[in-house]
Amino acid sequence: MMKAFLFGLIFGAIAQRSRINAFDTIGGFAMRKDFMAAKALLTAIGVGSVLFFLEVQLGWASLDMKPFAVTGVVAGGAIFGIGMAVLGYCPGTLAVSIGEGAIDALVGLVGGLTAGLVYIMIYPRIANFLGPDLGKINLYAESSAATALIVIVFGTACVAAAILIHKRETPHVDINR
Amino acid sequence: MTGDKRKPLTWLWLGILLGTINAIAANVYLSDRLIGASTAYPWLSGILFRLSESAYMKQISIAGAWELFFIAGALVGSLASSVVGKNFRLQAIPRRWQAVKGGSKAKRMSWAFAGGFLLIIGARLADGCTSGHILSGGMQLAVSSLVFAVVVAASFLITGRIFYGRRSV
Repeated sequence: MMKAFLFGLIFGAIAQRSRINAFDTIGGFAMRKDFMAAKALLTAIGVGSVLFFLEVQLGWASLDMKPFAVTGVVAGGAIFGIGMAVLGYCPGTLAVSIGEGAIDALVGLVGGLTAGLVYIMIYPRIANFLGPDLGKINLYAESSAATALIVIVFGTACVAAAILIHKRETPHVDINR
Repeated sequence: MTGDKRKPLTWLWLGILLGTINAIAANVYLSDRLIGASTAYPWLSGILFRLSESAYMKQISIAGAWELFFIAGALVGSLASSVVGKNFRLQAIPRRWQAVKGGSKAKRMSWAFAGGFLLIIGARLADGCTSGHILSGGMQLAVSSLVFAVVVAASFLITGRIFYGRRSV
């Protein structure tokens, strides 16, 4: 648990330094005024996918995916997107924003804890409706060579998309950048 | 925020750092656990309301505890960074919210509560959030996470357009 806390410390400090956690960044993305969050996330996924695959090849990491329960993922994603647009924080950056004094983020936390309580109570009744469960599947191929190619194309595409968004984004002077 | 004299971290460096840190977190010799956040919410609620014996709490016991320590660390890390950078500031209404939705505290807090509620209900239905699904799952090219990312992006941008208006300032 010390490790979890330590990773949290690093995450919180660099997120705060970058301003990705701020309402003005994520809410600004919902307003289509600021694409920093999308660019950073795409870059992280692209870089991470290549590093992670290398680790898997070396036996240093193992796949730990979430099952594709279709109804849960699609309905949950739709509800999550609405919540994130209105709140302007995601579950991780909410904590980061509380740390730098955002009171609306603290209220968002209370909303989130209420949702957590409700979910614990309704879970036994909805668990059977989250499927069909297509299992823990990913885009890796049978052979390592083919997978390496897929991962490199995927990783490059993610970073390229971030650069493309950056080039198209209307440059605006912002004290936060 | 204006008080911070340090150069902000750019999206490119942030992206490289986040991807690298999560790859380190996944390493079996170091941590063997990819980053995630949203399970912390039902986990903390379950502890506060003494529901540890419920079916869902038993199911999320490992992820819940890990992620609660993770977001607690994130809060402390951000507090330290904002104090060092001299941009810790108690703020009820964010600048961009005020520009579009006005200065009513009651209005902002009501929407923040509703948004936080929907955020966690959605994350738990889908079994992940921006970090656990989009970042950690996306890095593994997991189908569930890639589908989640696309649905979230669509729902987020459509909601933004309706809620903040077509050409918000």
